[in-house]
Amino acid sequence: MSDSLNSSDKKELWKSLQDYNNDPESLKLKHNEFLDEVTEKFDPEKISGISRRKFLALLSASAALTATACTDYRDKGEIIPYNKRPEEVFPGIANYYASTCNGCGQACGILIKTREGRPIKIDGNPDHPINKGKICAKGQASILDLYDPERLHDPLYNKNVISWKKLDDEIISSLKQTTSNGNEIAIVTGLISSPTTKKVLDDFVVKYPNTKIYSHTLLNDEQRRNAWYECYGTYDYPAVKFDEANIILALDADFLGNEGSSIENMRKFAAKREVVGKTDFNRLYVAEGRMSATGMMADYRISLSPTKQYQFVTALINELTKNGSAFSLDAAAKSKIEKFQFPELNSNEKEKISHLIKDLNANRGKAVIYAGDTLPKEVHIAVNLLNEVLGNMDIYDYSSTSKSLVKQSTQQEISQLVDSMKNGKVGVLIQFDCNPVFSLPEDYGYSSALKNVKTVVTLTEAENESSAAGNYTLPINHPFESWGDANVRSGVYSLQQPVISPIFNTRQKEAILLTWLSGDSNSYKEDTYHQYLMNNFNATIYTKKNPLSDAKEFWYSALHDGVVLFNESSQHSKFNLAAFSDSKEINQVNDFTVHLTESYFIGDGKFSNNGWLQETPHPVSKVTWDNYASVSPNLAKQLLVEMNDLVEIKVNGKSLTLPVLVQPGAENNTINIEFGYGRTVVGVVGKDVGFNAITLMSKNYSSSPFIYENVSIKKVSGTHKLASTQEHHSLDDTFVKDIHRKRKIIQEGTVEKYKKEPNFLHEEKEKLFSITTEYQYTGHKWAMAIDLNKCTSCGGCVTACNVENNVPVVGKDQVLNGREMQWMRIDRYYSGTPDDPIASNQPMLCQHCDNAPCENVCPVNATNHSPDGLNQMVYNRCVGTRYCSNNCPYKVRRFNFFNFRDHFADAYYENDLTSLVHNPEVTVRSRGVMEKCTFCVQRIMEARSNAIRDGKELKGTDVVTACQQACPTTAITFGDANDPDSPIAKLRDHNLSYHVLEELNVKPNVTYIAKLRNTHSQEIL
Amino acid sequence: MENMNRNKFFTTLGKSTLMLALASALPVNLFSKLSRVSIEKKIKIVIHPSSVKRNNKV
Repeated sequence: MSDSLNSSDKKELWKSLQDYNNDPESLKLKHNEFLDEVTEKFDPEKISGISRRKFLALLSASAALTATACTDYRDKGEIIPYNKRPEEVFPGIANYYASTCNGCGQACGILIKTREGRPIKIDGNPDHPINKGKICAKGQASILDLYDPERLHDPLYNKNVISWKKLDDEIISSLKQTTSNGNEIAIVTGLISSPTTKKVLDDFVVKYPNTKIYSHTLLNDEQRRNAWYECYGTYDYPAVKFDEANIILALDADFLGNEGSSIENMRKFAAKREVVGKTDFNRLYVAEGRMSATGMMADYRISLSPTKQYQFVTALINELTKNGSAFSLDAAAKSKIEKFQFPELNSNEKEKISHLIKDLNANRGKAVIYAGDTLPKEVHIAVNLLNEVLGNMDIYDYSSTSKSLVKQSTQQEISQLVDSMKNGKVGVLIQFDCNPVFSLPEDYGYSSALKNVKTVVTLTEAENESSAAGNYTLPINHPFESWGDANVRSGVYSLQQPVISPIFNTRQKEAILLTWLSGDSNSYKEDTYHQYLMNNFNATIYTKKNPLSDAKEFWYSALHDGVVLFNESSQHSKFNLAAFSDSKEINQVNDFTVHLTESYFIGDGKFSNNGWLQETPHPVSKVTWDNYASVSPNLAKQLLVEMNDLVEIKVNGKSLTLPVLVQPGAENNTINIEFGYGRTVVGVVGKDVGFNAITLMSKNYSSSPFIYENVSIKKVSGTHKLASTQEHHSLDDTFVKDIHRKRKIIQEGTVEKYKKEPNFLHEEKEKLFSITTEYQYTGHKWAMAIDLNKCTSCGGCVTACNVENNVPVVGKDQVLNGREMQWMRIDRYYSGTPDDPIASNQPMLCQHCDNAPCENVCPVNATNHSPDGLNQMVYNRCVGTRYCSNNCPYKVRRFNFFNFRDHFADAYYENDLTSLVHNPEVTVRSRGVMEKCTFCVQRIMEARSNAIRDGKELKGTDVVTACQQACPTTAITFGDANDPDSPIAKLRDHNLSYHVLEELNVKPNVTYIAKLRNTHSQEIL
Repeated sequence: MENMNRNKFFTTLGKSTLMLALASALPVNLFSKLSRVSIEKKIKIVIHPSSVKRNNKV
């Protein structure tokens, strides 16, 4: 990387620091669409010595012989029609089942799509009031975990298969013995969001009184809950009405990324980013140390270390109370507040703070300050006070509070458990669908203390670090094979139902506990927990709702809908000022700080073995298959490191060596690392991928378990290549260097400018003409519009497309070669300077151009155009010249260099189980074939055949593409451009609409709506 | 095959046919990449008898 961070020939738009500094490597990437050594080198000396005549003779003889010798190479088994068709199954027609997602603690409602009985797609349940038909990338891709070939098949004792009966007998005996000895039975569990599971645990404690329940989740909101408890006397905090806030200040809070109920947050935020009709935008300020997905959406972004957030918030309270306060402060609070001034910032950021203060003053009662889950409790208390001072309490939705069914165990409780284990006082330890050996900081000594426990039972879907440390490993049902319920939001009760019977010899985890509770190993039945759940449902929900129908009918209707809504009152007490006055002051730290955050797609490591999620590019850095230490350009310069260089980070005697990613916009002293990587006991896909950030955690932290000060960081020898997709598919701009600035791939404006000149985007638009007669699309003409004001780069569309269209996983080595196969990508551009960049996101997919440059160059006509405007691919015609991809200006075509099902990890996905995840409506492509987005032609055909069957006309709104269905902010619109009343037609004619590379006259059918920044000026700062 | 005569051509053809017929009888999997994981039992997907499907998607 060159020294000139402020290069005089800086581009208006740049994709990475290498691009910004005109790095030779970056320019080389642009010259070559296909990277070095992608195609094999052609060496004339290695050409076969066979002459042409000999070759043709051999060829014809071989063809004749092959025809006679072919036996059953195509035989994949027999296909026979149903002799006795299951009642619910119509071949070719999908069924949908309502259920609840278990991917995180938000318990979103889902619809599981099945074909011929097997689940193939997950989408949001439109009846669920929280996620309203949308689901995140993790939820979308979780279908692959059902068909993971490395799921446990049978119960194990010391790695040997054991029968369930023998296992139950032994464990019941251990439980009884432990109870009579007076020793402890410990159940360690993760986050409990099911009231019925909680009841099972409570019943277990009644049966075995020596039982103690410990709850530990790596990614939790305990700081927020504890703060809310101290302020308002309850652990249940309300949802935020982001759709009613004019001003939002997010403090290290990735509420549009992966924090909290992000799907709900994104929907609400996007409601105030509407450009159709009245432009009544909210304004988003983000103060953060790392660059997050929320930071990329900010109108104003302030680079601020997480250790300075407390000072920042109290300084804001100090400033804003000068103009009055909706909440009166006592002398103690006032004297505390007056001590704090704003942290030292540069002039640019001081101006932003000045705007922030003016905006908060002008929008008292219509603003919200929101702190991130990783920040200390004291910051949350200060934020609660600030919202009180501004009178923002109406922005909270008290009818929808986030509930905590089982409180997380404190550091003291877990330490006590470990001490008991070490002293031999724990007779049986049950790890209930969690992975504490991986997720607990090492200084607890949990892993070594396990050796002192005679009976360690782990209930898990697949082998993990905790099961490897125990003796009994019990395979449990996948969530799509399980019964369950969830009540994480007040007034919302969702049900989980199995859509298939267990594929392997697994059991429902609650049913296992119920068997032990009964004391009789023969008491287990398949529907043990089903009955238990129904009884609990009748006793609680049915009684609460008191409907006219009988219990059974109500149960079936609840399963059909997936959710039951009821009135549940929540407390709203007066703010306890003493919580702020008595809280610890957090002084700013000017040294290096490590900030540990949740991974966008891997969670806490739960999805490590999911290839789709590993391969989905990070929303900000676009890195796949790895995590890294994200540092600012200035810090990188200070340490003399570039991307991929290894650094050693030391915190409190612990150290971690991992590669560096130079992140524009990161705060100079903040090092951000994401969790979920570095697992050692996991399937082939996730093993040894990334670096374990939990290594740096400690049970003794000063303010937050996610933030550590007094960090040392130094460069060490070696590199680790990070597979980033951002520089792939770049346009070669060497020969047209100045023109590309005018190409306006990203077009933006400000709300101020748009209000004054609504047509500003089209003023300089060139008029294009054609020298030939253009084809007239008289019937349907499929088109798409993407609103860049709403796109948060969440990656939901990318994952949904992968699942819908059977996109293969290629692995890190192939991503490094630029061979990722995702049909949809989200390009991220920066503008401004590396220290204070402005990020722009742009989903890019096949544009289905009317004058498609790819169609003219195909020598075999494998790619052609349909009468309704689709650019089609005929896979079995394609001979793999790749000329179409060469000609595509958007670089959206993907070539199958290998049969990736066979190639990835020694044919990991080439097995009978994983092949069940494929969507039967979409061809599974083999080697040597080009593929790309088809606008979900299978969904268009399905809608067309439904319309014919019903005798109705096919409307554009009847077709919903996978990406459109998944997008939480409804940024994607699809439909018939020839229908003047359709939403797509209106968006195509919008003042802010534009096409990428329009001047090429390829006539793309994907329209982008220009992003408007809601700043105080007409120019983008 | 500059000097090949008709006899030799048909001899070669016959020998090749015989070898191909023998090769096609060999188990193909012997030469393919061995998967690290194998599913011994046949996978059977059975719709859960107690699940309730939706009447409509939306």
